[in-house]
Amino acid sequence: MKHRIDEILNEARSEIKDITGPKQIDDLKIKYLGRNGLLTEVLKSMGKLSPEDRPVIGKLANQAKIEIQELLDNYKLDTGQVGTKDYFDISLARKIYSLGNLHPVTKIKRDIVKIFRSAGFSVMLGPEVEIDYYNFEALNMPAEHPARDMQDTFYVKGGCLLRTHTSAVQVRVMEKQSPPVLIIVPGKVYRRDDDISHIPMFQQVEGLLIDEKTNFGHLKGVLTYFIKNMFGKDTKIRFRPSFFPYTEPSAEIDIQCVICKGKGCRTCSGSGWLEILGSGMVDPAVFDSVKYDYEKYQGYAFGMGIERIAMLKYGINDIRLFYGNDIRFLNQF
Amino acid sequence: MLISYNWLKEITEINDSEEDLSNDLTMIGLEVGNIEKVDNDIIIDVELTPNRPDCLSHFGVARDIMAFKGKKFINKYYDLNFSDIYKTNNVPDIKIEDLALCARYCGVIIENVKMPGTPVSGTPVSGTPEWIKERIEKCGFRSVNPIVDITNYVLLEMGHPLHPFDLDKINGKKINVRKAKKKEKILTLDGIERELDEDMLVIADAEVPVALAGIMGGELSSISENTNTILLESAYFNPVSVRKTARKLGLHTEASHRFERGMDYNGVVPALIRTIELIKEIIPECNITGFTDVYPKKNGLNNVNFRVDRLERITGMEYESGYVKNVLINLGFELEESNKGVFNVRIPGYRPDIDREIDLIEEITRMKGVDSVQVRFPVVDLGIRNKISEDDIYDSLEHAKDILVSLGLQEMISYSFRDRSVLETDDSVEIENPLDVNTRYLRKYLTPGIVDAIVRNVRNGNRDIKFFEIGKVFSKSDNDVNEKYKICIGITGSRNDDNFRSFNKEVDYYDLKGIADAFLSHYNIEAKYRVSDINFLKKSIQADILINDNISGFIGQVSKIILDKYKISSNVYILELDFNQINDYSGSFGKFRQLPKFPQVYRDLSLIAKEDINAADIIDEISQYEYVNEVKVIDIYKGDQIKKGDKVITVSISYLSDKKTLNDAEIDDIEQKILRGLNKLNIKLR
Repeated sequence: MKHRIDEILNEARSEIKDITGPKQIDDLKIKYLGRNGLLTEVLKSMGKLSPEDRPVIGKLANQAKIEIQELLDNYKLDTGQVGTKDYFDISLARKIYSLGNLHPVTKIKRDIVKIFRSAGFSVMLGPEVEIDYYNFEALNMPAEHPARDMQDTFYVKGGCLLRTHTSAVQVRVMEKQSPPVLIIVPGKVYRRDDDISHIPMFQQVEGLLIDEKTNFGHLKGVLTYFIKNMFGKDTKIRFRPSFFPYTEPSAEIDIQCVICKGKGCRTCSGSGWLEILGSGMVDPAVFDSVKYDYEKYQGYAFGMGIERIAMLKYGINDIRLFYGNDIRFLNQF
Repeated sequence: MLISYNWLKEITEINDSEEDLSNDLTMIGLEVGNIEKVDNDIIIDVELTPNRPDCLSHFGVARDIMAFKGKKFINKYYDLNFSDIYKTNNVPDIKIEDLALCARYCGVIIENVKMPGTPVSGTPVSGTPEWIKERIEKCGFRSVNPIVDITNYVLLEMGHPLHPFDLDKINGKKINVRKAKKKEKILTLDGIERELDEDMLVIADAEVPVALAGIMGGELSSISENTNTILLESAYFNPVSVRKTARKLGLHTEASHRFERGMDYNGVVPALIRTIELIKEIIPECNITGFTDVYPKKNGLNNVNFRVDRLERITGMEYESGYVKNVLINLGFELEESNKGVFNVRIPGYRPDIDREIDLIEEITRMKGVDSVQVRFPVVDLGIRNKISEDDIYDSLEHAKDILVSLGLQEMISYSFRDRSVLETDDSVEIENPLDVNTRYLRKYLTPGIVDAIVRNVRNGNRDIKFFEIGKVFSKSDNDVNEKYKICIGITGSRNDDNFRSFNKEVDYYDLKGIADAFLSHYNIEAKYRVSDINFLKKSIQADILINDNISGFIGQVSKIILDKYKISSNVYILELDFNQINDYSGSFGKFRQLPKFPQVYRDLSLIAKEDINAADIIDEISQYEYVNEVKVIDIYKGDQIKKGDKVITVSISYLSDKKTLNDAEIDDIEQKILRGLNKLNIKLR
């Protein structure tokens, strides 16, 4: 029996060395380890042995089985025995493990959330289907106001709408609690816009801080903190006045064009600056909506588009690529 | 808004280069877009925010930029009185029927109008002086005839829209500013006949509408080379009404753009005076014979109380009262200091956007320069966290993504809208104004999105896909919309990347189930799988996934019918799970267990069972016996030498005791018990 095992093992070793293709591996596996395989037959016939012999032979047979199994599993065409003169190519690898990956928007979203969390903000999410009151009216955009033109809205049958900005969540939060308020809201928003530089669904991060003493200087501070962490500490930043119905005074924030470094190019339409954030001190009309005392409390709000930040950071030039989900795009990040 | 650099220079006497000027405009809130050289001028495109109707003119922009430089712009026409300049003996017959929609209407009759060298109206006219033509054309207007060109010039100069009528074409030579009657029609200047409704404000004569108030004039009463007598309109129209009417008719004109944003009640007459001045200059022999100013309810100016200390609290900076006063005066505000650092400010009619203290605070801030506000970094109070938060949900969603990434999957994100596919049911949420027919509903499942993405990638030649998505799905219940998070995984193609010695196989159901098992085991959830009957999955290669006896999702092979529709031949496997159930039922890992003191013993058993017994059931049965530690299926065989309807299952069982090493006899004993138990289920030893 022992002799037979040795015989089979040597035969197996030799045949494995001569393998030239994948089919042979399967064939050899069946030949030695299959249901009617040579080694299997030996194992099956162990019942005929005496109780004293069985453990010893059993151990040998199992060892042989393991060795044959391993040889087949680890089959390498270009290795020989240890000490052989055969050449071993150390540059090759077996690619069994394919790595998974996050979507680039998720990565940037996490980066943004992380920076603001480090400044003390808590995350709120809110619903994607909203009512007109939270999305517009409470934010100082009554019906028929020209400011509504800036955002084309998807309406849902039955009276709701798809939120056009994450600002709606601010109102919900302020209704539920008194100041201080310290939140960031990352999430999907929807606008009825579909062309070369707009997509109907995109993602924003919105922030809100309300307490008794926060002023415009602090707003500049937190956004400067964010930009330096996101784009690098030498990033040039520009604040300039703007208009939003729910903030006053309002400002838009530009960073120096990452492509031309401020000289002017197509990406920045020649201005040398790229707009990345909108912000401002929360408008008293919003305080009225949520019944906060405007004389006692003050604070700021800001918002940004995640895809836009991703495009600037990664050098992506077409916003439509994000939700096309082409693996050749997703794989790059 | 296109601004001529030369024109602006002329009225402001500012000599800065166009770059410096553009930069200053941007820094006070009038963002400059394109700058273009046109002839010997430079045209600056100012992108105005909707709250600044006063800057829709050269005078308006001039006022703002001069105030920034510490000077005050004077509009010499602003305080003039029409009757002081022109003596008329006629009063045009003008009535305002709807004062809410038109608060003020001025009309001037000009007779003996002979336009110099006018050919057929509508073609470029030599009669308009070159300097007017040049300026309006550079700012985006077409030259029509001297009268219309002059009104457009004044529009660009002062910002107030005027409209000239051919008075001989006005029935009864009378004007009634009223709401349209049902089914009334008007042929507008663009050649389109429009049907009106009773909400729309029109300028009507004795019989019919002759203009859409504040939007566009009628074709029939328009100025032509034959016009002899003009009725010149300058008025104030209600912004909401103009906007509504323009939207309904799909119109957007220079006039409607301005009226929508709010014009100046007090700008009506100055614009009129300026226009007449220019007309008299071009057509000296004409006569101003009639004038009326219908303005029954005078609009008072806003008064705002302004506190410097509030300005300082909002900005965090200090301001001198003197500086504040000067800025406001230069911008055209009138004020009195009622208390130290407190002003009573009167807001001019051309700033309808200012009616609160905070609005004045913004004016000071932008004039001083948003740049000048000192950047402050607050010390973060470590104790402070918002009272309510959804950090937990956010973190658990992101964590689930990390687990799926570690299982080798690529995250994708798809749009929330779908067409109504085979998956959707009657409680799908419908969108009233979708972009197209393919995006009429909000998705109820994530599967169609992943299948779509897989198909597109396969068509591009990328056959090996392992996607996941975690996102919201939507459904209706009563009048409410339900939103919940779901997880979806879709795989197709090779099991591993093709590579030397990898000997690739295609993924199949068992691969996806392996991923599902690994994912759920991370949450310590034991799910049950039950054959299902979902119509978009292949029959019998699909299962419901139950967590705690609730159906929480499904897994299976996508049916050929669906894939044939897309014309791809690969097999696609899909899984979808409720995220909430994962969260709610994930278990803890329990307390620490001592490491085993004695070794495990492995034994294989080859069994014959009926085809339709699930491996899980066999494993469950064997697992209940004493000392059985782990049971794994290592082989399944059907075919030659096996009776039809049967299959051979080989299991590997590991035996473990915490008191001793089990010997052969003891294990044989357990094996016998196991086989007896399996026998009862009609499973025999091979």
